Amino acid sequence: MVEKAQRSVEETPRRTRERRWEVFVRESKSDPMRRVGTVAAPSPAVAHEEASRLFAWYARDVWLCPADETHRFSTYSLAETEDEEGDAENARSGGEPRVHEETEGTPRVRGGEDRR
Amino acid sequence: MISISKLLCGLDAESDGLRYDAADGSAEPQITERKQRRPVVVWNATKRCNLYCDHCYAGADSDGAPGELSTAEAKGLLGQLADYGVPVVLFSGGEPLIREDLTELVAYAADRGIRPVLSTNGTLLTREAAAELKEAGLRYAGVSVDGLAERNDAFRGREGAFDAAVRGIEACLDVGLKTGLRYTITEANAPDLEGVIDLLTDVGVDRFCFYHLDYGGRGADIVDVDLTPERKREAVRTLCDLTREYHDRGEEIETLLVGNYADAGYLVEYARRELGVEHAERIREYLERNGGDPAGERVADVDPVGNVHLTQFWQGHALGNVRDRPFSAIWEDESDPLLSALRDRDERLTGRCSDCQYRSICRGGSRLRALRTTGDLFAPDPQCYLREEEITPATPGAAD
Repeated sequence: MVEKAQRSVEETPRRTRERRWEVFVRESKSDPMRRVGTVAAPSPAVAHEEASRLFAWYARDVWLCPADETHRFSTYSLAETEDEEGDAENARSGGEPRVHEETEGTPRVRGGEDRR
Repeated sequence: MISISKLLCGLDAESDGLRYDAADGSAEPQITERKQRRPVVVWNATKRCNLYCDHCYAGADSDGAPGELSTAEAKGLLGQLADYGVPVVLFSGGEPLIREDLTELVAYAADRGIRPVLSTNGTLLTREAAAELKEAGLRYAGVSVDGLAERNDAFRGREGAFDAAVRGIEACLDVGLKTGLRYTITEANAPDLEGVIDLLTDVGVDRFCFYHLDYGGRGADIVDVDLTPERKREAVRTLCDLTREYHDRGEEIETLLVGNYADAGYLVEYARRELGVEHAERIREYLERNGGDPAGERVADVDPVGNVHLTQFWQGHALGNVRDRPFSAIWEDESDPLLSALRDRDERLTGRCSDCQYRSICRGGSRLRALRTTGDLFAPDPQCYLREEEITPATPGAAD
């Protein structure tokens, strides 16, 4: 019996501003669609324009999927590649970084300490 | 990054010591060689910022981005970069000092053998913060100032930002942390250029990095204030002349140009005219080794949520995300048609680039600017300011 891989779901947001779109292209109709990263755009039409320019010499077909609606089940964890402090679970659950709340040039801590 | 002071005045470039192993005197040539092939990685540690600058390539604001890398994930990233042989990590933002774990992460990077450097607006750099960062292993702090007080504060969206940045620079100098200026030249602040150098030289700064505007983030919204090619040419000539004047009177400031590899061809032409053919040829040979526009090869960017970009200015497109697979796997994946094409771009460049004599030291300049203004990834950089008679191999040296 094949042992089932232990995957966790990675659902942290992928955008810093605009929506991001996973881009798939292929060079000829006999090729499978190939993922070539993401583009930021407010709509699929604008994302298509952007992807068309970026891969103009290559892409015959373009597929776009909303990056935030992709459910990624993976055995890989960025935090666990280095973690020795036991906070990988926090990282995987999308824990925010510890940040200062800036006030008049004097930083104070905003949240996050309870996650350490 | 092109060092005017190194190329025209022979001053050893601090950036060479950071980028390469020259400053370490490494006895392990294979490690030295490996590190020299790896990119400098800019990590936008957060999107949060206490200022709101007109040209911010990261589109930073007071909100930050949901799901920014946690401390553990940031260490995972830094560990990956160390294992891959990345020589330098530039902690950027947003404003990186807003991250409470910044000192911890700088120390972690240094412990893993990466040279940590900082890009900051300087306004949160207290003496205590500067001392802690230096103790943690920070090698350099670049502080952004974009004009004298009035223009800088208008540009950065906060009154008093200039004075706060100067206090931050002084704090770094007080604790012995190497610091320098970052200045993005636009039509709005070009008149302040000499004044800023004079003022900060008096404060004790001796390193000045001048950035050309790239068209990413909010920078894409202010293309109309970018210098025209002819005005860029004047600004770069002013910097060359100023650098030589300072050196002639014994003040060895370091001046660098970032973001427009037309500068490479211009420096060769400038040297040919001002310093002679032999000097110009030495500059050309150095710049050929330097390799031209670095997008997709000698510089990479990781944004606050882990997206990997071709440069820090090119955040509209991501090659992948370090939450999905290691940085090295993303960066080495030349089955990615865009990454592969950029690394092998020479034969794809069109228009005046296709037979330019400086193509080998420029590589077409900014592909992002070409894409944003023409829609063609391989069109000429619209901010190339070299003249037709300069780019033609048969008639070099016809410059002003």
